[in-house]
Amino acid sequence: MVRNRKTQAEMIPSFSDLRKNSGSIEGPTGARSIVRIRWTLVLLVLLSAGFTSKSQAEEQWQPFLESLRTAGYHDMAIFYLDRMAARPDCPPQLLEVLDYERGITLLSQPVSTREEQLEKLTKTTELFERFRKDHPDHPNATKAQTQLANVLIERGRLLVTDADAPGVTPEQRDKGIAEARQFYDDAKKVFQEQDVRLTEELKNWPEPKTAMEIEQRDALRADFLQTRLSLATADYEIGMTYPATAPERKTLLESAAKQYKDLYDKYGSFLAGLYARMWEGRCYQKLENFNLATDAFESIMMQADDSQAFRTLKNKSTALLIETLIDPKVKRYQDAINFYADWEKGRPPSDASTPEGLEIRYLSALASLELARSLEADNKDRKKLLIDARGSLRFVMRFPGETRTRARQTMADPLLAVDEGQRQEPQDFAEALELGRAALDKIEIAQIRQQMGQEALSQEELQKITDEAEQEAFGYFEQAIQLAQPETPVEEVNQARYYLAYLSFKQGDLYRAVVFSDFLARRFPNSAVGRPASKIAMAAFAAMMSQPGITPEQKDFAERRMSQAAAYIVAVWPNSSEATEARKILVHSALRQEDIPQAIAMVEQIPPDAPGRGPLQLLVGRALYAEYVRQMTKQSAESPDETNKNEPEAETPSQASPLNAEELLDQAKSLLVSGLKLSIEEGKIDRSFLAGELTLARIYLNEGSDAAAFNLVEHPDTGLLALAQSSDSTIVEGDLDIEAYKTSLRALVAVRELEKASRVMELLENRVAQTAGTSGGTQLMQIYVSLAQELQQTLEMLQKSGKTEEANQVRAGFEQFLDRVSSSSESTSFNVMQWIAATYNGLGHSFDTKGGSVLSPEAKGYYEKSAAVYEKIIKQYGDDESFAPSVEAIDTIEIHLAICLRELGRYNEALKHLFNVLQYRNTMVDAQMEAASTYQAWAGNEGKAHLYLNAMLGGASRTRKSDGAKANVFWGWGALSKRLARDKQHRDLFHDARYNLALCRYKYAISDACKERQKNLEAAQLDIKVVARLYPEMGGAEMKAKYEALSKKIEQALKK
Amino acid sequence: MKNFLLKLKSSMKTTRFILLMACVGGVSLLNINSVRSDTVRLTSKQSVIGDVKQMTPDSVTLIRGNSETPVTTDKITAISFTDEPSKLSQAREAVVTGRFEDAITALAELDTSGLSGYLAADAAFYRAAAAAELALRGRSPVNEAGSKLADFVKTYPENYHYYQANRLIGDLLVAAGQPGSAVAYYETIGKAPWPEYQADSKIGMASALLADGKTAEAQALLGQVATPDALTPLQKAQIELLKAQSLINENQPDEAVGLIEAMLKTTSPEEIDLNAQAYNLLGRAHRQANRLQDALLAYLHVDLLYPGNAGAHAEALSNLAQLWTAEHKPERAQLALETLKQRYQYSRWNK
Repeated sequence: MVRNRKTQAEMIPSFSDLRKNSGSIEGPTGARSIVRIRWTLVLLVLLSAGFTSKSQAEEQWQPFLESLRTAGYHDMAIFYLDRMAARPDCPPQLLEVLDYERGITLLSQPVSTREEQLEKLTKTTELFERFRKDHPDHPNATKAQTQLANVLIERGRLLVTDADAPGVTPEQRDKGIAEARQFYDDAKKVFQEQDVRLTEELKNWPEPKTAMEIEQRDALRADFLQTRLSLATADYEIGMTYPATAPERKTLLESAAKQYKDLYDKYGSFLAGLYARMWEGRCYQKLENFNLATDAFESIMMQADDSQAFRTLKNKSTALLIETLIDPKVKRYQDAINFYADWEKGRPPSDASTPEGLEIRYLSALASLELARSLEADNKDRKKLLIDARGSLRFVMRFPGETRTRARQTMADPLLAVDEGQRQEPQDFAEALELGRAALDKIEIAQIRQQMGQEALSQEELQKITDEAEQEAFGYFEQAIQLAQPETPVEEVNQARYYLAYLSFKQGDLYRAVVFSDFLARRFPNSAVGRPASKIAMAAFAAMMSQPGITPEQKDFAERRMSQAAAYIVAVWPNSSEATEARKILVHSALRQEDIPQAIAMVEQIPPDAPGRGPLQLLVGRALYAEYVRQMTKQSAESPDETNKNEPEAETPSQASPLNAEELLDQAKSLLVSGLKLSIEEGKIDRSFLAGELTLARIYLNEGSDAAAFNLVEHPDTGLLALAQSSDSTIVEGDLDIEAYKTSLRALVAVRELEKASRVMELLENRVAQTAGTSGGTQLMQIYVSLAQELQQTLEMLQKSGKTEEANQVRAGFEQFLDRVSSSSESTSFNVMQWIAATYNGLGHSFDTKGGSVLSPEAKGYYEKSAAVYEKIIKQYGDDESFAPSVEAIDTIEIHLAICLRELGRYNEALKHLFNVLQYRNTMVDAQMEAASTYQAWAGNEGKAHLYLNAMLGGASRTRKSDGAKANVFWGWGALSKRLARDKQHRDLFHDARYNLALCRYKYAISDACKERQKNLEAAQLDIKVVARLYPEMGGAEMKAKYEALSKKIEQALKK
Repeated sequence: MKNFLLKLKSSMKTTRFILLMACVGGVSLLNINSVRSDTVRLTSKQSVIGDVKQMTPDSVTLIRGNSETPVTTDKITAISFTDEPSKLSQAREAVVTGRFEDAITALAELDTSGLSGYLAADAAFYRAAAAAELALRGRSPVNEAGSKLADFVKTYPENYHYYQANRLIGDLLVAAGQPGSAVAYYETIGKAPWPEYQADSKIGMASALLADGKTAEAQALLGQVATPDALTPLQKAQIELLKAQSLINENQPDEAVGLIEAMLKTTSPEEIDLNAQAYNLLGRAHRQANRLQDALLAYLHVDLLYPGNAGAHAEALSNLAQLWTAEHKPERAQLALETLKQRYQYSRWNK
């Protein structure tokens, strides 16, 4: 029946079964070879696997894990352990040994560099130590201790490798070797202690009666055997630290060989015993007793068993045998090549890329190379040997690991470069492809020669080699495509196409790069090159966009095609890292096209742990908020241009969004919160982060969530204040820090952190003074005015959304702060005083009943406070002109004071201040408009209809110095509109003036003061008609509606 | 699903076990030439000796002396005939012990010109069965084996191998990517009088229909399968896998994963074929849900732990090649492809 079919799991033996089978055994490692008896685990893993009880329902984690490691899939083994650990039904036996298994996996994982090895050993030590601490009574606790000793051995080995590195002084070498020996001695002590303990335990172990007892005894024996092997290996390693001629080396290696031999004699029918035999051979090899060594290796290779475990052992022995044969003192290169050929013929495909397989292939390359070196230059075999050597080395170089490093170094051998300088004519596709690859290898070889000190090339020379090699490779790959036949494997043809795409891109031939890469990505998405090609396509389009001199049409084409390439990547490889990059492009594209839902969809599709998601969320969050502000502005006729003028720039969609304002705000907030969190986790603190944080803080302030805003401000590392003070130019750019200070100030005042708020004011002033120089005063004044406007806007938003309580709190906070600042001795600075006045004014505005003629008491109070501060400024300027940064600044104060006085109904005083300004600066449009508005308000609010005439025609006449004629200082709406009509830039102001002109004329006409009602009404009507004729759009929809409403009123009045 | 293949394999393996046991006991069943009567080897490890008098797809009747002994074919592992050529004996034993190349070699040396009746039918069946088994392992072309089996069922509709031959044809058609055509052959098995065969028939049909994308029809068939109590554990597990496959067809990978993992918990890890198929399905479900790393793990279970099921192994290797590529591990992808090409040259997964 089916159930009789045995799995590998079941075939993993107990100790007593080792004679027949199976599992894998690693050996101690030597200096530079696969059989560098990596002395770890193996036997332990093997034996512990044998003891696993096999429940019918349980995941076969142990054999699977071991299989993954044996196959070299250590990354998958770690992933598997993580997956299993996260499962609620993870077998408890596995849960207990997770750290142990992770340690075993890491320790057996090949690494390429010294740094990786060091990191690996550190991590492994942590894992084993934690396992021993957490599970001191677990059967694997002893094994973990053994593994810790093995880590010591590995550390020692690392030092020995360092000591042999080029450039190491004799003193450094001696020191390193001494430290290495110390590691080995420490490890040996652990093994000796274990040996004593295990020998004693085994001696006293009662005869087992049950299966469980037999298993326990077998486990003990396994530990014992492993310890003995480890002891022998410790001697081997210590011996290898001495020079070849040193008597210590000879003694220790002989001792190790004897220990191995004893183990082989006793346990030779077990797999572990055969390993001892191999290691014995290794000792003979190092003792230069080559015949004994080859005998030992060949005896293992003759083993009939071809299970995975035996194959691994035999492959290791094959590698050692070839290594011995190519030793300079042996020089049996042809024999080595023959052994390799036999191995190649009989190996299963899966052996090719195992560490042992790669080592055998690498050593075969050395054998071919050395044999070629021994031949005369015209020998016909020499060329073939060199081709074989290059082919093998290139194969090995495909796989990561330490063997690749050595293969690269060997590739730099000058002999391998012979014949490579002349261009060869390929006869078929395969040859052309290989020649192309070989041409590319020249770049790497040149770099290695440079690193190894074989050649001293300047940067220019290296670049020249690179350019030539790429050019040559390009030619070969093109030829390969031409030589491809219908039966040529499509994957290989695609390899050639991919190289062409890559080289075209590198050479800046972007259109050609796009043709190859886009073709591969779309036609062969499942091939090895499909996805990388898609990346080239996207990059090529991106590069096109930034080419100098690109026309708008070309840019549009590149942008469109880049978006298409990105969309394709997202659709075909949605979980790839390329898709994450592609989504970023699509987000930007969507924002440029004002497609908010698409931008949100793309950013949501990026995996949470993908790099770059955080900043992208911030970008979209800011764009959404900008759109929210736009919608809110549209809804409100008040302060249309002020709402977001200080918002950090974002790609702002202007089309109507399918989301309503509330949804936009929620979505923006959610994206900003998440984006900030992810960015912090990613360590991506930059300008985008600061801008996002600033926007979120403003949202919080505008909705009355002051505490949340305060938290954003105050964070010691990533808060607004900390970042605003950063000297990092990737964080602070332009005036972003000023905006951060402003928002911080608002947040601090809102939560009544007034001391801190004062400090921020100082920081802000210092910042402006440092960068703005003499114009600092004006800039600071503008900053404070905008700050007051922001506050006013916040108050209005809160009131609009019914958050009266929050609005009152904000007011109270600011009032308290302003009072405090006003009363402090430092409050006399011009900018601070003008900010105080403006803020009081803003607070007053927030209480102002728009459209009503009666001020609320609160509004009146704030306006009075504001006016008092403005008057104080003017007075102090009168006392000392240096108090204000400029006379223009005082003019601005006068205008603000006039506005404030007008709100208070003190029209005459208001006009007086405006006169002060306009008598010298008659063309100051905003002051002129305020004067006309003041007359108009005065007329309307106090029933003095004749003042409408002043509003229309101006007032305060005086004699002009130039010609002695009388002229009005105040122009009135009529003169204003005429002057403004000339200037397209002030079209909005023109319409304001023109509308008010008609309005005043209408109001005057219907008043009792008017004697020519009909005439004035018709004039008012004409005012509007002229506008309609000259400017059919009439200032936009909103203004047009106002004109039309007024026109109707006039018509009705005319009918009466 | 290759449930009929499983069935055939099961019977073959049982036979192999019997043979081995017999050898151990000193009675070599391989020495067929010494047998003087026809011998029916039963799945119960017993034998019935006599002369085959009558044969139908459902039963074989032996006569010994004056007594007749009917044996239902579901209980029969193999029949050895009096004075049959030794090459036929060798071929039969090779097939039941899984040495299909040996069987083909032996049959190639068999002179069939003098064979008739049951012997000719047996030779035709084992020639076709050996070819089919190799084809199912991707080691020979499917079409050739299919033709031989089709000839067999057409020429010998009353032979006791009839149901087995139909199963193999169904399996071959599924392996060849023509599951729609397999349904009729699996349906034929349902004409057998035994509930186990009838359930197998429906399971096979449902499996083929699912592979053909006809999910609703497959589900309806599964609904008709006998009550769980009447099913063997193997059949129950197969039905669970079919349900999972049905969920995958309906784009419900998470539900499929739940079902497969639950099934794996109740299945012995030694059930190579079931486990191999289950992990492949698990891989498919994870791929569908874009959990590529999990899919890799699932397919690696088949590659590393259950490569004994050739069809499943080929499928796993094909998927691994694609997934390693997607995970930027071209060298691993290449390795999987090389293994696939070398071991399963004729598999449809090697395309």
